[in-house]
Amino acid sequence: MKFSVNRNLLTERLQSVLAVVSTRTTLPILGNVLLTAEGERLLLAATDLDLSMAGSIPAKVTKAGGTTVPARTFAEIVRELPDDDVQINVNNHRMEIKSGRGVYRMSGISPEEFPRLPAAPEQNAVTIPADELRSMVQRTLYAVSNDETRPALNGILWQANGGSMHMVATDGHRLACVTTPANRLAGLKDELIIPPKALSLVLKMLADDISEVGIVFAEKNVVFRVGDMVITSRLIEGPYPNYRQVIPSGNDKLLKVDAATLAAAVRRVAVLSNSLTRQVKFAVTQDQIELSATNQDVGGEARETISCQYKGDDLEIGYNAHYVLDMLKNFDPGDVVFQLATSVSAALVQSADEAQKDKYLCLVMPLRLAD
Amino acid sequence: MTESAQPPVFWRQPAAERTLKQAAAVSRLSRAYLLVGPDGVGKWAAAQWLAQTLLCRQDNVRQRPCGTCEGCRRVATGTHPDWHALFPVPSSTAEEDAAAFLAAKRDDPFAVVRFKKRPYLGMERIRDLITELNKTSVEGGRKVALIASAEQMAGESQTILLKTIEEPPPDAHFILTSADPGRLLPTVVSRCQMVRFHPVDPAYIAERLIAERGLDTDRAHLVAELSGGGWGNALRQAGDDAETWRHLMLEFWKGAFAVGTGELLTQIDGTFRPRGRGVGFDLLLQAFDVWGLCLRRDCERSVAGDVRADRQRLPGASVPDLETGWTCWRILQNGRSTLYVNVAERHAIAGTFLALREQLRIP
Repeated sequence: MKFSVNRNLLTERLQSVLAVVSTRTTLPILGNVLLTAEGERLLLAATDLDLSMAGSIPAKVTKAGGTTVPARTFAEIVRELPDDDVQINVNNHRMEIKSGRGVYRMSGISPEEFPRLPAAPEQNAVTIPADELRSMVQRTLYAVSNDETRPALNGILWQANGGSMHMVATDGHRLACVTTPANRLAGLKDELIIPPKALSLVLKMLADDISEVGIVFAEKNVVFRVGDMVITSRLIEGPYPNYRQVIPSGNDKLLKVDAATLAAAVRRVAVLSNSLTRQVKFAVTQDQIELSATNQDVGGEARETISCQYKGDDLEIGYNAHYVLDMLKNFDPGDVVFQLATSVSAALVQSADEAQKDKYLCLVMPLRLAD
Repeated sequence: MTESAQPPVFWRQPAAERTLKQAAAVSRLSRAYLLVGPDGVGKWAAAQWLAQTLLCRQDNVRQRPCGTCEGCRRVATGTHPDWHALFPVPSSTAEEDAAAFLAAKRDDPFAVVRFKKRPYLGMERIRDLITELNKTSVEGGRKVALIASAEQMAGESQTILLKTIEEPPPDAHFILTSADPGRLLPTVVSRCQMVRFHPVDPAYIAERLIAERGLDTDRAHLVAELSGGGWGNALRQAGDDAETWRHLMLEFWKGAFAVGTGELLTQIDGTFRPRGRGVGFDLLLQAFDVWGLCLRRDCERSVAGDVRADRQRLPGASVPDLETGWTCWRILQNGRSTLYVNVAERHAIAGTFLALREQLRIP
C-alpha cells in the first residue's frame, strides 16, 4: 500500500476516529486504526466493538491495500508533522511515514484481524433532519438507566407507533418519552434499543452545517451517516419493558407552573437539601407552591414560594431535585403541567401548550416524605 | 526431544465427544453447557471447539467447525470479538497474568496454568460479561461466553449469572467449566447441560509422553501418575527439569517427615519468614499438589478395588489406610487454600505439616 495525503485532513480524521479507539488490552487490534487505500481515497476506521467509526479523505493512491497501525501513536506522529503532504508506504504491515526530511516507521497488524461489522443493507436507510434527531435524543438521554441488572433499560428505545414514532428512556424512577409525528421507522423496524453512548457520539459529531443524518437499520446494528463520517453501533437486546403500563391515566390534580421559574427555585432550594436524597418538598395549594428542603448535616433549611395554578386538594409531595431539574430543562420556555394524584404516585409532566403537549411526556416518581 | 503435537480436542473423552458432536451435527447445541472434569483433561479445548462450531462461517452445518475460516481461526487465537473467555486471574496482576494465560492456552488448549497469587473471578467481570451479552453481536452472528473454573465465582456472582443463564439473551451461548462443580449453586448447575470429562488412564498419558515428548518409561509413568489423569498436568510436569524436579519433590517430603518437629518448625520459619513468595513458595505449592494428586489417585483406586493401589510408594511417607489417605488429602487441600488467605505463610505451612505428621503418627 502506498499513498500520499494532506497532513491536516489526515490529522482531523484521525482525531475523529480516536473517539472510539479502545483502551482494552485483551484485543490489541482494537488499539489500531484500520487504513484502506483504494481509488482516490484513504478510508480510516476504528472500533471499540460497541461503536465503530469510519471516514475517508482524498488521497493520491499509488498502490491500493490495507493495514492497521496503533491509532494513538500514528495520530501523535501525524499531528507533529509539518503542514505538508505525507507519504505513506506500507510493506508487509510495516509502515513508513515520510514528510519533509523526516522518516518514521512503525509496525502494524494485518487488517484481517480487524473485527468485521455486519453489512448494513442500504434499502433499510432513512434520512432524518438533524434537529429532529438532536431534540429527540437530548430530551431522553438523561433518563437512561445505568442499572446493569436491567440491560434493556441501559438504552434508548426507538419505537414506531402507527403514523408516529417515540423515543423513550427510563431508569425506573423517571421516564422521558418524545413523540414525533412522522414515523421514519415505518416499514424498516418496529423498535430498537440504542446504547446512549452511540447517540451521544452522533450528537457530538453533528456540526452546525449538518442538516440531515442518514440512518441504516440492520438486524444487529444501526448505522448513522453524519456528514462524511459513518458511526456504527451495536444494539441492546430487547425486549424493552412495556413502559406504557407505568404511565398513569387517572391523575386529576393539575398543577400549572412556569418551567423556568420552578427550575430556578428548585435549584436554589436544593442547595440545602439532603445530600443523599436531594429531596425537595412541594407543598401545593391553590395559587402557590412552597418548596422546602432541609439538610441536617449542615443544619440548613430552605423555603421558597412560587406562584402557580392548581386544581385539586392541597398536596405535599417530595421529589429528587436532580430529577425535576433534568426534566424541566428539556421543556420549551413556558408553562408545564404536572398531573398529580397522591403524594406517593408518579407525576406526569407535559407542556401546557396544546400544540406541544403530546410531543414530550415525562414521568417522575416522588420520594416518600418523612412523617 | 520432539515437540509435542496437541492431542485431538476430545482426547480419550468418547462420551463428551459423542454428546457434543451429535448436538452440533443437528444444530441443537444447548444454550448453556457445564463441562466438568479435573484439570488438564481438555475442557478448555472442548469449549473452544464449541465456540468454533457456533461461530464458524462454513455453510454446511455438518462440517462445522471447519477450523480454517476466519471465525474458527479467530476463536483459536482468542481474537474473535463475539467469543468472551473469562477465567480467574489474580486481581493485582490481572492484565499480565491474563495475557500469559491466554498465550499458554493458544499454544496448547490442554495447558494447565498456575498463578503465584490467588486467582479470582470477580463480580465486576461477571457483570461486564452480562452487559456485553445483552448487546447484539459484533459480527452479526452468535455470542459465546466461556467461564472457566466457574466454581471460583462467589455465590453472589453465581446468583447474578443465574438469571442470565435462565433466560439467555438472543444468540448468546454459555459454556462453564469446573473441576469442582460441588461449589456451584445447584440452581446454576441445573440450568446447564452437564458434560463430564473423565481423568485419562495414566497408561495412555505415559504412552503419549514416551512417543511425543521422548520421556523414558519410568519418568513417563511417574509423570502420568502425578498428572491426575490430565494431559495438561502431565505436560506441566514433564519439562526438561523433570528429573531435578522429581528429586526435589522426593527430598522435600522426605525432609519434612524425617526431622523432628522442632527442627521442622525452625526450617519453615527460616525459609518463609520473609514475605516474598519466591522459588521456595512455588516448590511448596508443587509439593502440595504432587502429594495431593498421589493421594487422590491412590484413594480413588482403593475405592474402585484397583489392585494397583500403592499407598506405600508415596514419596516420603507411607499412608496406612484409605481413611488416613483421604484425611491427609483434605489437610493438603485446606493447607493450600490457607496459603492464599491473609495469614502469615509460615504459620499456615507449619499448621499443615503438623496436621499431616499427626495423621501419619510421626512423632
